[in-house]
Amino acid sequence: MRTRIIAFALGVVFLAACEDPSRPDLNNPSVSDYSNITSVSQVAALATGMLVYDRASHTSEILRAEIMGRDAYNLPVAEPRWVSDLLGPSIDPGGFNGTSNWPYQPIRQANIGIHGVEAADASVLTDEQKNATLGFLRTLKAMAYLHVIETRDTAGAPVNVDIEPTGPVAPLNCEGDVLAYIAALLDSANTNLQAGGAAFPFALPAGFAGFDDPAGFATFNRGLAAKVYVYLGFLNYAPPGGSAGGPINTDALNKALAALDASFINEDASTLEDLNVGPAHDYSTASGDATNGLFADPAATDFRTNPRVVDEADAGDDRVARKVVKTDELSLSGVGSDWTFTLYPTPTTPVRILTNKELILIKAEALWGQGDYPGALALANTVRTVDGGLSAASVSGAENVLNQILYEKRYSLLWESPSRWIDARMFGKLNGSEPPVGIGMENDNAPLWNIPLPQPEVDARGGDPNALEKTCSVG
Amino acid sequence: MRTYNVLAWVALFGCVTASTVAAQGAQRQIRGTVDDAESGQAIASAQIQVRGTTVGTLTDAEGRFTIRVAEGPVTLDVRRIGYKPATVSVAADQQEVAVHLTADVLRLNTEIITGQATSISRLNAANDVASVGGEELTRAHASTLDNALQGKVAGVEITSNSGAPGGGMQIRMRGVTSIYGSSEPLYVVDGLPVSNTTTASGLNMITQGGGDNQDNSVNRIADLNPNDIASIEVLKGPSAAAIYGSTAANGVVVITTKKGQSGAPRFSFSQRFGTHVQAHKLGLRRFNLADAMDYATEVGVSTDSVQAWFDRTGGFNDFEKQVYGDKSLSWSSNLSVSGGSDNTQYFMSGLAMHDNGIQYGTGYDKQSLRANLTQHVGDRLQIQVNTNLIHALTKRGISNNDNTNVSPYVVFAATPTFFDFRPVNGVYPENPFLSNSSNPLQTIALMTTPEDNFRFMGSVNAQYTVFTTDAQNLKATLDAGVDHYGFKSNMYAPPSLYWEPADGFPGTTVDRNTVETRAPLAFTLAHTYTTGGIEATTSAGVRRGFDSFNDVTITTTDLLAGQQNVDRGVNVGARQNRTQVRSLAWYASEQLLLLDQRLLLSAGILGQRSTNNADVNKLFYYPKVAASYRWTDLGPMNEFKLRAAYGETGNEPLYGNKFGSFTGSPYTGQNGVQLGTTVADPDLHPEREKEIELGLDAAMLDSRLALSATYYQKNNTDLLLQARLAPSMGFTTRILNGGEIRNRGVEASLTGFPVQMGDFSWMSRVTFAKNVGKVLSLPDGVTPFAPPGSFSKRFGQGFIEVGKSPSQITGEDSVARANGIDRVTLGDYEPDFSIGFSNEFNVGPVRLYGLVDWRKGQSIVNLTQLLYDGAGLAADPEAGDARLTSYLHHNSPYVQPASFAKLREVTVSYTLPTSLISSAFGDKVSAVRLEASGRNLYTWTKYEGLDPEVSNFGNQNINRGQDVAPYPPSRSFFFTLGVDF
Repeated sequence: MRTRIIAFALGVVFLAACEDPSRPDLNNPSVSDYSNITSVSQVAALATGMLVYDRASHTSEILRAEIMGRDAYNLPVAEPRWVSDLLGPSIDPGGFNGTSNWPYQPIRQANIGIHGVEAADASVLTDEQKNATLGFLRTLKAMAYLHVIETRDTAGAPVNVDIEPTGPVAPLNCEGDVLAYIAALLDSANTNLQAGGAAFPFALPAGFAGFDDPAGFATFNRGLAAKVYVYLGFLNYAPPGGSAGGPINTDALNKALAALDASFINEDASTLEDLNVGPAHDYSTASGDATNGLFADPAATDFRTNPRVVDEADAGDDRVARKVVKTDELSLSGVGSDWTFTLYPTPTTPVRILTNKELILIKAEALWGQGDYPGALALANTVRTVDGGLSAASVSGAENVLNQILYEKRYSLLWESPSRWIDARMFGKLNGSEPPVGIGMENDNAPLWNIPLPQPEVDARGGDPNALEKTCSVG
Repeated sequence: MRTYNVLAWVALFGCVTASTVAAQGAQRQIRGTVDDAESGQAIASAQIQVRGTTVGTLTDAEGRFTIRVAEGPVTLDVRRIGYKPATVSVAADQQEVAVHLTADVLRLNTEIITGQATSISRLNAANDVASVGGEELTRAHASTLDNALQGKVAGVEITSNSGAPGGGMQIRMRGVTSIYGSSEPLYVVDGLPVSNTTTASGLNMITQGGGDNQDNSVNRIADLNPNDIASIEVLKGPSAAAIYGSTAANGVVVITTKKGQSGAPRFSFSQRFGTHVQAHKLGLRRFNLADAMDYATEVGVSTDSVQAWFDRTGGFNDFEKQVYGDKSLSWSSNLSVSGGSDNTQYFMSGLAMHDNGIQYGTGYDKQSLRANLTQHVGDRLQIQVNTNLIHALTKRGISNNDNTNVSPYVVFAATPTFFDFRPVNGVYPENPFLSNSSNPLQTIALMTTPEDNFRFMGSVNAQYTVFTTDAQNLKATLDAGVDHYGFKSNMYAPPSLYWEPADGFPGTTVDRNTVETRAPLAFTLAHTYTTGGIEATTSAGVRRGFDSFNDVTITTTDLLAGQQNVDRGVNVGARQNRTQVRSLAWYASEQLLLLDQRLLLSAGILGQRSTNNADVNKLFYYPKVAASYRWTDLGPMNEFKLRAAYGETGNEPLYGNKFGSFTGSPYTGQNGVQLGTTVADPDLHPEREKEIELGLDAAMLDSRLALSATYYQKNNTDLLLQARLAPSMGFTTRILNGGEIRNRGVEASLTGFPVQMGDFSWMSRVTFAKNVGKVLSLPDGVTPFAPPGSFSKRFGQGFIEVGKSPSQITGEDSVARANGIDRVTLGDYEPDFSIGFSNEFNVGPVRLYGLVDWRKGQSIVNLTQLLYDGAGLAADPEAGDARLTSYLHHNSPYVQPASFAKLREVTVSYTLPTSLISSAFGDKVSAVRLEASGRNLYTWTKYEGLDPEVSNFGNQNINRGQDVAPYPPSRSFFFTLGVDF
């Protein structure tokens, strides 16, 4: 009898020991909820999250690149670093500009999602749905890397970050390696999308209308790929501190042209609408959602347009009239202007991600790199006439055609793309060439080449930014 | 539910077993009496046990007992709490026996907990385990338990976070042991852990104080009724507390409640009346008319109104008195009854109390009902059921850090005293010195801050003697219990408050509901083997822990006038936090008493797993070894003992630390997820605390003087820390284990009876404690850092760096700064040493008792003073200007020394002579006691703030001692009538 009592009591307590002790996080979805995909709704949440990340990165990069490219100013009284960092001699690597545009969180999230989708059971996702989702996640992951390398350029960036987060840090790769990696990533995403069937297993927001099925999204993917292949084509054309005229990688430019053919490029554009075709990020004022970070109420904004944008425009250029307006003079730390942007009149005005006009101008750059100056000029003139309402330019010679392309890019993509600063760097216009065509120098500091590596990234690699080891294999 | 089923089964089988164990062999009867050796008074409820058997009984109210024993000579063991145990040999032909027990005033013989179901006499204990009797807790009125313990135990530092009614105190033992981990000691009531969670009110939604930890919250051990407590033992370090495993790193407070004693019902009633008054004022600046005019002009207030104010009130209004002048009546009624038969004993008590708060509109009400029942079923099974139902209503008003200018001491810091807050024709004047027009008198009149808590604590302890012989005894013990509370607070600031529309949303209501349930369960087998001077106790068991917590806060602003419901406003925000922790531990220990109870050797081990660890299946082991050797009559010493103990405990990661998580993130109506910024190490595990303790205990001069001295060294390793990650990992922060903090210290206590003559006795007790903490290392990737919950280096801030005290306060120094050093050590919020000094004089029926609590060498960051200096409203504006100038030149003058000595308790009591009582009440009343007592009557300190005991951030390990407009301290006076009948 006694033994039975004790055995019974012991039994009860040990029963407790035998139950599965693992407990989920009661307050937040945990990483394991998404590395183990058991429903389509998880895929949708992950995919939407990737768009939330890119939406923030996109405007953050445009704002900083347009300031470093000297077409825009941000002059809030309480935050002088928008001037002292971005127009100054150097950016504090530990400050909010130095650590900006380093979106590795979405890369980690994409990797978690990619592994989860690859391992998902066929009853949750069909092969076509898996391919569609992988194509989407890989494209968004490539876009995150693109934000990184466009702002860091020759400083390089880590690529192989799909590693144990608490283990050793990923090696730093050269710019060329990073760009080659992004190009390959976009290509593999395209392969996925081609096998992705008729629809994504999740809905894309309204701004992706026309690009919201795997086939449509693939044309966006190809546009991005063309951009990256052009970067690779001119990778060594103008090294920092050197002069322009270095080698051009025509093989990469060929790949860019091939990608453009598969993209949503429309060279016969005849209206503004035709030029502005392309996916855009949407905003909302709902709780937890984001508003357009580039929105500027002319009466209240701290954003200003460099007056030289107006001064240097060709007479009668419609783009100036459409995009900037006169407002109160605002100045800070010796920088001032009485012009501001009107491109985004409300906090929920969408911001375009990639447009037909940009693709046309990218193609012009690729043709120019292959020596087809008339072909390049013709494309630039398409944008010039339709977007600017100007008569076609007739210039000749490599340098003049390039400058014409860059002029059209500057005004057509003003306040909607980081490309002016990136192009100027790529074509040797940030090297202090005399005078830097199209680049308005407002103070004594030369325009910045890049944003430095974030301080915590340098700290994790020994702390000395000048002694960082880089892995380089692509010239 | 399962728990109760088990108990039902155990009870049922117990009954059956008991009935089968029947008469055995020839028997005889012994009759006897037990009395006090000194006074000759009968002792009720003394335990009589026939050695080598389970036969036992208790004495009745007259100290008499009868017991049936086997033929032949027997030995009786006689025990009673508060007396030294006695052993009596009864010859084969002896029928009557008289036992005289000697009082154990020094508590040398108390039983000390060493395991879930094992204990040992203090005479042999290998640890310095402080023990406080229930009577010591209730000498002076204390509204909460931690309040009653202050200053009474060496090495146990109890600090009130503010003066607000209803509690909010931190107990700290032997230094800072953790930075991000839990800072709370474990409370064990009647064998099972109970909750001491700090329940925040949500006031920060109104003050924008920056988080729940600035709500001036109550930690829930305050719910216990001090009158119900029989004794408290404090296990200060792992060498004693290892059996409590990974929740015991901050020490363990073991509370035993009063149990019934057989006999006729004995009632004990006490009625207290008294009040609380503000103990210390800050002192506000007084203006003459000319200065007032200048001041008003400078801040843009019309000088005409200054003239009018001077005409009406003479230029000075004592704001502190107007807000903190409530001296209304406080009272406390406590009734308990105890009694029962040989088989059934009960203890029941009821408490109803009200404490006034010195701030108008604040106060603390508590009602508590307890029923403890002991049932013997046969002579093998004993079931003890303890239940306690508590209701506490706490109204604490607004205090502490406040970024909306509503907390009274923040408003006073911007309002000169020539302004008058008092209503004119029933209308509170708007405050022209603050843009939000805040008037504290209006705030007090209109804002309500009730925090309502209902709590049930119930536990069952079933002990079954499996077998027993002359030499052996095997006992099975099952402990099961539930501790559940429902906390509800409602912070309501109506739209009509002048400051309410300041954020554009007039009216705020914060409705907060917190529910916590703990349901622990333990099963232990304990075996004792006694032979030839050897006593071996072997025990083993398992213990399960369950804790579930759910906290929902709904905040609504922009309210309809007069409407308090959360659905009657425009902006509704909700927040929820849920946690659930399960743990399982097994333990085994061996305790050997050798050489005629002189040598103690003991060892034990506990293995514990918890859902808070990354690996939920992994058992973490906490070993313990201890030894002591005891000499009797060594030279002048009656008792002398050397002891050494080593043990380990842990401090679990906090709930949620181990999860890498996602957060919700919408994109134009579509719900998305984004990755959190924090990642935990895959092997995240408890912090580990290792302690070695060495000491000696001595009793001399016929046990009239007792000395205890202890040295300890405690090393905390595997601290839970946060390292910065390379952001390319996709996370910014890594939670990891690493680093080490060391605490070393000495504790001593000396208790004696310098005088004991006839009717006069004097008992004196001094406790001393000194602790030195040092950060020994930080892991790779963790650079020196200011831990969370502090304001700024400019003011004075905690800073964790290798080689320094973990409780240091750092700040700026202009000279050092000129040399490129931007941070220097300016003080420490832990004292260099603390001393408790108590004396008790008994002259016949009169008793006088006093307790002084002295802490030396600690500092406080006096940000309250900075507020007044900044506005030019310090009582001494010139001194204020000097401090401010120094501050602006990159010094930190607000880090200020805050040594203090407090007269914690004074009690004078008078027990009416028995002759008077019997002539007045006959034999119905056995004792009548009159008492006058006071708490915190006087504070000696150079600290200029309100109170040197203060912590804006409430209960936390680090960054204590930040003083930001706290609720001021009070002193209390009480008159008590106590009747036993």
